[in-house]
Amino acid sequence: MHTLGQKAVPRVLVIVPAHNEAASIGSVLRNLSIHAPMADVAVVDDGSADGTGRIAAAAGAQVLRLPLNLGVGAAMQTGYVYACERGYDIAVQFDGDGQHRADQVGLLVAEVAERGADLVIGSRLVGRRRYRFPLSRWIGSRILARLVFLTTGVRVCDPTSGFRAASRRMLSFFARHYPQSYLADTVEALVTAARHGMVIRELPARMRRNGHSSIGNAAGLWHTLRICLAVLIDRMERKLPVEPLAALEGREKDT
Amino acid sequence: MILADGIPLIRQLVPLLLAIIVAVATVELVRRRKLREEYAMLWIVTSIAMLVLAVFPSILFRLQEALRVNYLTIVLLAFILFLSLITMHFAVVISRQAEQIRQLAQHQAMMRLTLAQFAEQRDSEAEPLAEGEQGEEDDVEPNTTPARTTRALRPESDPSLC
Repeated sequence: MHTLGQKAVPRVLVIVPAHNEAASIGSVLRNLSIHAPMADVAVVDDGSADGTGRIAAAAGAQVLRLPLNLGVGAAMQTGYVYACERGYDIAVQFDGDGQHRADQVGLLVAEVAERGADLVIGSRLVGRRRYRFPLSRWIGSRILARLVFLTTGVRVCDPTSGFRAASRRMLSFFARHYPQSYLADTVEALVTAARHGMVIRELPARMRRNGHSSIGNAAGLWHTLRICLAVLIDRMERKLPVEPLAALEGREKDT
Repeated sequence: MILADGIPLIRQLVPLLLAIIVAVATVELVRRRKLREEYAMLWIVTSIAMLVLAVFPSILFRLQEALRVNYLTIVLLAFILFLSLITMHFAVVISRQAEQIRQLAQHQAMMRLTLAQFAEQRDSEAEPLAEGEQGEEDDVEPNTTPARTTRALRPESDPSLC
C-alpha cells in the first residue's frame, strides 16, 4: 500500500454490526478513526432500541439502520451488500462490543491487499499473545476447528472469530450469500467460503478482554452442537456461482 | 337408504358434510379477502378430493385391499400424509417470506442512508452560496463537500456485480 510499484490504495470498509451497543459503540468508532484512519466505517444498527444508531451517526460513521432486528448474520450481510454496491475493495468485520482492536485492522487488510487472500481471520489462538477462553468455549472451538478441517481441508485455530477481512471477490459473494443462523454464522461463512474456492488465511490478532461473551458455560456445548449441525446442513446446499449470474450473462453476450 | 357402493347413508353423510364445510369456508374466506387466491386453490382442490372420496368410498376400499390394511388405517394415513405435506409447504412459504423480509429491511436501510447522504451533500453544497454572497455564476466547488460523503455517493464499481 505504501511502497512504490504497488497498486492504487484499496478502499476499505469496516463493517460494525451492532445490536444495543450504545455503551461501547462510541469508543469503538473513536478507536477506529484513530488507529484505522484509511478505512470508512459502516455501522449496521440491527434494530437497536438504545440509540446505538444515533450515537454512531453522531460519531461520523455511515449508519445502516435496519428497521427490524434481523440477527447478526443478516446485519453482517447488510454491510457486505453496502460494501459491494459502493465499490469497496476490502471489507473488515469488526464487533461493536469493543472486543476487537482497531490497531489490528491494518494487519488483516494488508494480508488481503498484498498477499492475495480472500478471507483473513484474526485469530485469538494463534501466536504468542493468546486470548484465554473459558474451558467450554475452548473445547467448542477445538471441535469446530476440527469440523472445518474435516469438511473443507482448511486448517484454522479460531473458526468462531468475528474479526475478519474479505477481498472484493469474497465480499461480493457474501453480499449475495451469507449464512443467517444465530451464532453459527462465523463458522458457516468460513466453510461456505472454503467450499467456493476462496483463499483463507489466519493471522494472530490481539484482542481485548473486556468484550463480554454472550455465551455461558452450559450453553456453550449446546451452541457447538447447533453450529456443527448448521455446517452439515450447509454442506447439502448446492454450490453457487462465485461470480454473480448477471456478470456471467454479460460476459457470454460479449463473446 | 343407500346412496352408492352399498354403504349406509350415515357413513357417507359425515365425510360429505366435512367436504362441503371446507369448500364453503374456503369460498367465504376468499370473499372476505382473508385468503389469497394461490392458497384458496389448495383448499378448493382439497375439498374436491374429499367430496370425491365421500361420494365414491370404493376408491378407498380398493386402496385398502391393495395395501392390506384396514379402513381406518388408510383414512388416518391419508390424513397424516396430507397434513405433513401442507406443513412442509407452509415451512417453505415461511422461509421464502423471511428471506423477502430480510431483503426488504436491508434495502430500506440502504435507501435511508443514501437519502441522508444526499441531504447532507445538498446542504453542504447550498451553504457556501448562502454565506459568501459573491457566489453568483460560479458553480459550487465540489471540494467544499466533505470528502467522505462525495466518495461514498460515487458509484465506482459495476453494480451488476452485486
